[in-house]
Amino acid sequence: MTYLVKVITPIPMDAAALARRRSQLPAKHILPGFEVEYVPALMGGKFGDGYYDGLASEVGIFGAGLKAAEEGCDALGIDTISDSFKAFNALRSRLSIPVVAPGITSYNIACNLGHKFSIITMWDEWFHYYKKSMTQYGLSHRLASMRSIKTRPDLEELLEGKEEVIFKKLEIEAWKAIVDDGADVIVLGSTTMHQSYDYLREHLPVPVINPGLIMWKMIEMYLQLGVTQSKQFYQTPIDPIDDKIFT
Amino acid sequence: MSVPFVGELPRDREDPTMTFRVKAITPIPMNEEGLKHRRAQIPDELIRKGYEVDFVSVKNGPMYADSMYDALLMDAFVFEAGIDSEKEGYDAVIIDTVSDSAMYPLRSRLTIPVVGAGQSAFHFACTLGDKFSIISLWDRWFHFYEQSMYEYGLWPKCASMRAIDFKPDTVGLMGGKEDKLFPQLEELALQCIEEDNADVICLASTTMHEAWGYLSEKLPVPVVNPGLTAFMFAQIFLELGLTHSKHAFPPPLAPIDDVFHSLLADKPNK
Repeated sequence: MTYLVKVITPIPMDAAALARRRSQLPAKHILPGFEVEYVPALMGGKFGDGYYDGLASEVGIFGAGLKAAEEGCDALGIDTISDSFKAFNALRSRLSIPVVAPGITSYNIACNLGHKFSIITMWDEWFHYYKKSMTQYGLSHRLASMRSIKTRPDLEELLEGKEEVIFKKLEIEAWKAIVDDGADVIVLGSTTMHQSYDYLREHLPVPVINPGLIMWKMIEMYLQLGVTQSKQFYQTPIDPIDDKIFT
Repeated sequence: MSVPFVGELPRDREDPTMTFRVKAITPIPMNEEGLKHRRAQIPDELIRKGYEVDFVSVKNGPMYADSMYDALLMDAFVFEAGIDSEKEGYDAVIIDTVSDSAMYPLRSRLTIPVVGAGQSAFHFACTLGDKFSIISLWDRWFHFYEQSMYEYGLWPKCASMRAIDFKPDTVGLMGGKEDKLFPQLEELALQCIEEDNADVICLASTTMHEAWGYLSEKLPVPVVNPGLTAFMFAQIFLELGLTHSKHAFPPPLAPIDDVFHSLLADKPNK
């Protein structure tokens, strides 16, 4: 059997931008019998830089997720390490197919590799997402630090054309996290940073978690094991109004 | 700049003909028959092409894991069984016990991934729901889970631990007793769900794996099978070239592997 998985990006984007997102899953890391399609959110904040943008993406991801499930797929992924927390919860509540997100996956996997992890990210404006995740997932005690290179991100172009400068800056912040903050695992602070993964793995003395990729492996694992999120916790709504929500 | 360790595996991961070998260490001494029962927790269809798993027994040790006395012995013997895994050509080690015996010391001694059934199961449960309960054959195993909850900081995620009152057969497992034990475990799990607010159930022991299919069908929540979870994690880590942080688990300056081998005795009349 072939499993079809749809991964929802946090903002609307064109085919070229979707392809750049899709490139975080090289063919060699997709098991036989699995197919992936990246689909854009219905709406979203351009930079993800605050609670306003956060809600815009939550609504957009939720809508795109409902549509993707209705059109047919075996699982959903959410392509933002914020997990677009309320959208993640809402989709897990509405659907019984697995809905998997990179934040909850990355942080729990990091806990299997070391005592403390640091999140290295593009700018401080994303810190609110990680704070929420640490609180909601009960992992604050495992977080060594959050550090950023104070660079405005491009959620569509990603790091293209800026690799030499950006990769080095990320490496420096990661070293500070390891040496000064006590991190023994590094988690990339965004799936938009996936292009830096290979460089950082080669240059750092600790494991590096690539959130989009590890989320994908968790999706495969869920489908292979036949498990899905707990419907005891993510309770199905009594009276859903899916077709009345969006124009 | 010289980088001391970056998680590279000993062999070239790009070679498509290469086989990844995983050693799974049982914490209780057992014969071939016992190892077969353990091996059965990994369905063949979940072992990817190019991966192999060998279940190996400790050379000696306690039979029931029923006390802190037993816990230290399990640490010692599991460690002794695992020390030479890299030299033996293994690519990963699984600790086939939810107690995660010797996991940290083996992570210190080895660079290949060392995955514990407990740590992987509890964190996998955390991705499936908000709180998990651990259901066990008897409460004499609770000391392991209590220590793990403290060690991993997971008390807030643990709804409860419950046990039926059954002295386990750690070698023969539950064979022949399914009709009696499975419904008891089911009832226990339902108490965890209805009274303790668990939304995920973790089997307390890899010796309980035979109940996984039954419980997964009967219960309204996901059921985590710890030995299988550890194996799936090991496969993922090998595929991605991930291993535990040597920053967190630094190697010993003066290892005494030979002392472990020579001082710890074989099980008499093995």
